[in-house]
Amino acid sequence: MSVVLTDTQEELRRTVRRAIEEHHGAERVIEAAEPGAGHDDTEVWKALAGIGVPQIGTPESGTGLLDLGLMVQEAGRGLLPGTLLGHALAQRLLLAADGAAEPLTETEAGGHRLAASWGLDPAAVNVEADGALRGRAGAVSEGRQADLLVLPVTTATGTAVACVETGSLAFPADPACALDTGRDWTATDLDGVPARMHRLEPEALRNVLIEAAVLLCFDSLGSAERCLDAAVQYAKERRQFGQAIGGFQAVKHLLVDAHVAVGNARSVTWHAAAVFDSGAADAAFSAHVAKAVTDQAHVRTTATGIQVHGGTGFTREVPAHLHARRSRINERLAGTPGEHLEAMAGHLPAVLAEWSGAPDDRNPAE
Amino acid sequence: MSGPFDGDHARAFRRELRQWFTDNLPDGWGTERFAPHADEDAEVRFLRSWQRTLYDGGWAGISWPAEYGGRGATLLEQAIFVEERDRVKAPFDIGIVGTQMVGPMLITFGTGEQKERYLRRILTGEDLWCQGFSEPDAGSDLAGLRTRAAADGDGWRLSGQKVWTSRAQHADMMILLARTEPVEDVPHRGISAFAVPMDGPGLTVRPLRQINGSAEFCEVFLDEVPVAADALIGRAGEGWKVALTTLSWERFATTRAFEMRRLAAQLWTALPDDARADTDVRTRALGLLAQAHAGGLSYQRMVSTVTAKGEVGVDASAGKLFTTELGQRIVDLALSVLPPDDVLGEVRPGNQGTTSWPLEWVNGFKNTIAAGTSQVQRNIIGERVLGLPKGGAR
Ligand SMILES: Cc1cc2nc3c(=O)[nH]c(=O)nc-3n(C[C@H](O)[C@H](O)[C@H](O)COP(=O)(O)OP(=O)(O)OC[C@H]3O[C@@H](n4cnc5c(N)ncnc54)[C@H](O)[C@@H]3O)c2cc1C
Repeated sequence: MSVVLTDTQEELRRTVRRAIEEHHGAERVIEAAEPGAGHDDTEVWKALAGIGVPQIGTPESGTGLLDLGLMVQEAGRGLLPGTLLGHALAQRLLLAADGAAEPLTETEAGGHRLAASWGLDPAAVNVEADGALRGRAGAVSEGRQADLLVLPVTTATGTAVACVETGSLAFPADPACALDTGRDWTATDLDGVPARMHRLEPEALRNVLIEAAVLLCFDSLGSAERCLDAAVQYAKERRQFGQAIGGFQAVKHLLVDAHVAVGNARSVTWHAAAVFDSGAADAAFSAHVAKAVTDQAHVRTTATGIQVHGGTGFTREVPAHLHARRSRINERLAGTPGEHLEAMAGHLPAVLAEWSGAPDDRNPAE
Repeated sequence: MSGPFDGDHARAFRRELRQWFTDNLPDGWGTERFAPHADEDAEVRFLRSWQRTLYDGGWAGISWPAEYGGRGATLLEQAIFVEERDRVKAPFDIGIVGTQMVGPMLITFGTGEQKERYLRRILTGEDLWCQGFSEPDAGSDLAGLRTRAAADGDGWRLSGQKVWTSRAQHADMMILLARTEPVEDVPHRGISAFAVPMDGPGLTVRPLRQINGSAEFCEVFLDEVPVAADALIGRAGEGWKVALTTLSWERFATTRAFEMRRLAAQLWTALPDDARADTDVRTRALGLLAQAHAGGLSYQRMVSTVTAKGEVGVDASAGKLFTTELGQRIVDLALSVLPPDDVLGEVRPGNQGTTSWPLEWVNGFKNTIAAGTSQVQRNIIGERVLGLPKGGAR
């Protein structure tokens, strides 16, 4: 599905971009990523909540994964810490679970902040007989700032989505991922922690895993776009040998290759979300392709971002490294590119028949 | 929501077209039963008649106005046509210069009389056009061309040499760039575009032998070739605009999005079990499939943009660049891992409906040179899309 955004979607994107620039602009991004600065994004979150961003993606609002993803793309562009991204995953988990719409509305109304565990492995946390959780919630971003942590868990009878008050959690002081200094990644042990539980059917869990992969693609896409824009801008301004460095083909062609890769990432990411929203059969295939293609584009583009900035790119005064750091963790969350390619292989028989007019596979039809 | 390629209208169009291909592709097409043509002339006759079949079926000039014999649809339908054509690897468009480049250019720049005279004959396959742009000293640097057009009474006389002119020996008409004014400080000025009949006195064609085994492109020598006043397309001295428009359409037409999807699919299908079990080969092949899918989706997004704008401009360069280089990567892997019998055969033009890896390999070199090299596409995108400076070291 080739996606063309509606005027409403474009307008919302612009509004959100402005809000992010105003409340968490370039300087704030660099400041918040300094050691000990705490990644506080409360102010920008309030601003986003004020314009209704947390409701985007819910059925009541008449919007879906694409609309939500476009918001996450803006968060990626603005290099926001993880609040919006975490909220997005938590929302998908709650929407997928039985009877969890209520806590979702409650949190929205109360201005509560949601965080989610990107570990997304229900086997990592078990529900004990007394209803308390035991295990480890991995890959939580901005958990310290959130009110509620949402994660899939294993119960006696299947899987569920658990909602834990973060007040009952002890987040360790050390980050769980020291590489991505732009976000506050934590992992926390759940030692008999109380939680509210909502049943999650296996099918619904599979869908959430797809949504998680696609949401990360949006984050990576936004980050890659912004990093490229900054590198192009720098290449127009920085002069060496009496000319702007963007005039050197070695630099120009590097930027063009990144531009092409980012364009492809945009195509596959938007497509994956739109296909998911449409309920079409190839939603999983599209998500696998999207994650593999977008991760690769993000990693390469952000490396280009540093290279084009030269020595400046090696300083913390420009955010190129924050984009690069983000690319290295995003590719490890919700399935690595290799895992997604492998999962994609499972869908090939149907897809290849469509592409080549010849049915796959081991038994070519005459 | 549904994208422009997925609406009811698009789906109905696609269904109708698929059925039409099923009913109209030559007998045995896509299998070894379809015999290769005895020689190039026979192939050209076959392809001209295929063009006629398309025209009669209402599938020629899909985005052209109906008054010139087109279908009166848009580039979206044209893109669906390309996707379906490449899916079944239907006979290629021998008249591509006319149908995809000169035609759309004439719709913009031609006079009413020129459109009347040329357009329908392109669609019926009666007139094959060739593209007389490149010269021995003017390839990437096209504005450096030296072929001259001297005013002669009401008309013009053309002298000079063109090179790599594809299918000039079979063409009826040529779109030719020539200088009507000497080069001054801006080389792009003073160039004019002409529609030149290939049977004029003083025009000779010498085919060049190509590395893919055919002799498709040619040298064309022009020795005081007379053409009438109305051979001029657009205004005298303003042919550069005509050239750029023609080249944009060429990039649009040579974006091999769906061809690469099919090729990546065929590579995967042809991989023997042990190759598929090899982690490195497997990952590369799957990665290529993913990239090919991305290329197809980007092409569709580009078509949506271009349809909304109503002109191609620089939008087509990224797809041309990406898909032609992707094609080389696909074939690279095929040549290294497919069974020797599949890939070490002779490079020769064969049965069009089937895939010959040696031929795909050699033609891969052509795809990143013709229609503007990959380096030139990168310059275009860098300067005209990203807005980077031209710079000295170019
Ligand atoms: C199969 C085939 C069919 C063709 N058909 C036609 C046709 O029908 N009509 C027609 O007019 N032409 C045709 N061409 C010609 C084609 O357009 C030219 O070959 C092409 O534009 C390159 O020009 P050139 O061959 O002079 O190479 P050059 O311009 O000499 O380039 C040689 C190398 O230098 C690089 N280079 C040149 N300039 C730059 C730069 N500014 N920056 C970076 N690198 C640069 C190129 O990328 C290339 O790698 C055809 C070519 C092929 C291969």
